[in-house]
Amino acid sequence: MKDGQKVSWLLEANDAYDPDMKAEPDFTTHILFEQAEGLEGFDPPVPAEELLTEIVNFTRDNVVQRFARACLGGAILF
Amino acid sequence: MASQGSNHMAAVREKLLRARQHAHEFRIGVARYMASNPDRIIRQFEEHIPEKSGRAGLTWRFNVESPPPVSLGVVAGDVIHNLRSALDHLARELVIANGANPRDEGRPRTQFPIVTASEQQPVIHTESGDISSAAQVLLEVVQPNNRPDHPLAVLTRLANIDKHRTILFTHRVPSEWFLSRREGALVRGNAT
Repeated sequence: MKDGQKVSWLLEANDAYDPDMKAEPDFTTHILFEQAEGLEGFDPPVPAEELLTEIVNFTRDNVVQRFARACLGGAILF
Repeated sequence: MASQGSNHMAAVREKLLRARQHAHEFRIGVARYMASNPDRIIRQFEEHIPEKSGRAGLTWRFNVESPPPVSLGVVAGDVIHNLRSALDHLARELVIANGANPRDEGRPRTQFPIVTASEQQPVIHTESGDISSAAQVLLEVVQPNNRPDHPLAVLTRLANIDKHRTILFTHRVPSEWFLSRREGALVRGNAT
């Protein structure tokens, strides 16, 4: 989201949204993150197919799902 | 035979390991940034709300008080670079494994081909000889083939961006939001 973006539609689309509830004027957001993975050691040699699969899967899990949406503006993904 | 022998994909492994290390660093950087509470949801009364046919009411706005640090983009670029480099090392190994010679000078050099259009054929250029037919099948299977959300298509796009400028981030992309009445109108969400 960009600075100043109106998010009322996000809230109103949620079943838990109550327009009459009392709330503080401002409140911060809290983000849930997965635990960071530990670094993996050096593995024995593997076939090209397995290694290529690992590269593609790592790219999917750590690039596409982690930050590609945030730096490509979601234009190509969603 | 090949001009430089393979060490059982060791270089590919090392590049992937470097990508993992930078990805770890990226996550730490994001966690630190988000822990600084860089944004707020602000509630305000508006006289005219277009989404409500011009009626008055409460609106909620996402307010960025501190943009993501540039260093995050630099680290993301390191992840991208090492993944792209791992693929290129892999391409070189495929050439050497078949007794061919990779092309290290001139153009086109030996690199891992990523073609985004299905009618294009992925080709690893060599100085002499070719990769095996099995390796060629592997190359073709892994191609994006008109899927812009394919990991290799995204990787290519980000690698091209990273060549010329730092990767910049929009603030966040919400994927899940809900209200918690117990915590007093707290908005929680998963985001990248």
